Amino acid sequence: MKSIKKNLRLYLPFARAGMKSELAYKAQIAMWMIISFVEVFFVLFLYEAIYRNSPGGMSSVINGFTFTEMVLYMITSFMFSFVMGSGDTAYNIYTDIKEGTVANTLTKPVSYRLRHLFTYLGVLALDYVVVVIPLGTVIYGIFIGFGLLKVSAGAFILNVFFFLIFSILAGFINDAIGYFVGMLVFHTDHLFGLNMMRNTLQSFLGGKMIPLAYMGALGIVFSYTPFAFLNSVPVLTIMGKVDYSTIIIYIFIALAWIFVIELANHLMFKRAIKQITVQGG
Amino acid sequence: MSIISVKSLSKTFKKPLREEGLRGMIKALFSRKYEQVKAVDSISFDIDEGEIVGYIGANGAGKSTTIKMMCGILYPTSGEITVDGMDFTKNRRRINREMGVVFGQKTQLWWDIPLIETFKILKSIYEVPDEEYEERFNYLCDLLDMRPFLTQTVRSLSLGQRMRADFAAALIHSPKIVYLDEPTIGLDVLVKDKIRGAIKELNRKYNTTVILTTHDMKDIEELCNRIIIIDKGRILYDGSLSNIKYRFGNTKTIFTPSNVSLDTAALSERFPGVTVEEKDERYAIKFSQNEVDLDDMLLYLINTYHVKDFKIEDVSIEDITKQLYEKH
Repeated sequence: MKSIKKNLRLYLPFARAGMKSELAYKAQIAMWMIISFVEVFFVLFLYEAIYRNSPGGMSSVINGFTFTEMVLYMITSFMFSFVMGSGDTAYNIYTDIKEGTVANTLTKPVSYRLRHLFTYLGVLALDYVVVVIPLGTVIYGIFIGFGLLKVSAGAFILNVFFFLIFSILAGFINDAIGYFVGMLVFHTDHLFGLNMMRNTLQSFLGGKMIPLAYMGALGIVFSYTPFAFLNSVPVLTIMGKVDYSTIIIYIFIALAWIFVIELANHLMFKRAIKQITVQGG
Repeated sequence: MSIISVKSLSKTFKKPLREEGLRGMIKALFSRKYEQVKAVDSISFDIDEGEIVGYIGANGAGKSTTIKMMCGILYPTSGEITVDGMDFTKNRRRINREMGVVFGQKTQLWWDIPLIETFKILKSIYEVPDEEYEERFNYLCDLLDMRPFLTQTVRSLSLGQRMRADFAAALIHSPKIVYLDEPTIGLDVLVKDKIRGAIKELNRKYNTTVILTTHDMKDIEELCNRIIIIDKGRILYDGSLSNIKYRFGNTKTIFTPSNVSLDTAALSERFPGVTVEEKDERYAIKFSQNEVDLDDMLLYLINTYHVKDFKIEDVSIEDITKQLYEKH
């Protein structure tokens, strides 16, 4: 307990610095938000065409989704993916390596891993306060208020509670994956290709544009990958589309993924640290 | 008492070998060959508490590699480093607490937030007590004249302001040892003077040990009582500045105006071993103090030529290192 308290005191300033750094680019956040919603708008056009041309028309239920649910899924999904995309640890590590500031970072009496984790958690907390909570309240307020999402108050509160738990777990998984990619940069010196691969996997296996339910048996397999926790699982949870026994199983799977990726990260850091050359003085 | 001890330290890098041209690049995709480059080759030295040591060498000599091993950033291929009796494998964090580092071209400040916030983060990282922090922070602010830009974001600072702030950031936790890797690079004369003054003051007031690498020989001449010269990863010289000057002839150069019409033949006859050059409308009379007494030379010039306008220069450390490199 004493050591947790000490660590919090040591690393919370990194979280605050992460928040402040993120706030320095307010216009960029706004721009990304706008781009994300334009993207949702176009994807919804596509789904509207699919539903309109299906045998049951706009009232069809395709792979467990009504058109209204699909609209809510896409909006929530893009909002969640936006949050998962900011404060990227892989990019921070890449900058550390590219600009040589890794040398400075390693001379500090703090853990390189925890420093990056707390910086990211600061950004994530800010995004929740500034984007997810206000926007989520408005969106779900409209859907519930107009009867588009039928859910009892008690069930919705429970869904929100589990959504927040999955959000925290998603933060840890996202940062662990970002750190893993960052460790690979120690060997490749480049981030672009690695990030492209990561984003594609995250988008596809996370069910960002196509819900995993649309992928049949493969979708069930994908729902257990770490990427599903970065979008599909939390979004379906707040929509009330995951039963509580599955939620409990998902929580354990998410924790297992965090453990596995962090273990890999630990081993990779030990290797990467010996790889440092710091060219040019 | 020795605070840093370096024993038989070596560092070898694996460098990929590539053939020239597009063909070479394509070939490298399928089979890679490497060569081993020895950046630091079995060097040993001890540094005492309170010393200011200049660690100098040409580009690629191995000085930054040594400093980075001493800071625990690079792993040595062989040899050992102990700092205050501790080694990095077991006491990395404790050693990190006792040292401050400035890498001239790489900032440790948080780029997007106001400068003062960086100091608050460093206070937490190093767990500096409030009172001690206040005292140290105010002292450094005054010493480095930082108050006018404390609330500016780091990215908006000029290079001189940023370097002063970086220097203060390395010292906020009162480290016993400070590594300065080219701390005055790219700075104007005024900022250089400010940083040199601060180094001297800290060493005097807190007995801080300073290890300095630089290409600016004025930094060395003004600050260091001991220098270590390194080339191709090996130590060429380790000792006092005055000693190496003596070893290299303890040369003095006297500059006189060219309207004096100096009789160089007579001068050479009177003082064998003296060289005279005419440059920039002045005569440069160069001689070793081991062979010619400075007072004798000055008296001769005053009495024979009635010279009133003198400029006397010591041998520069730059000349010495040049001679040392040529010798090896």
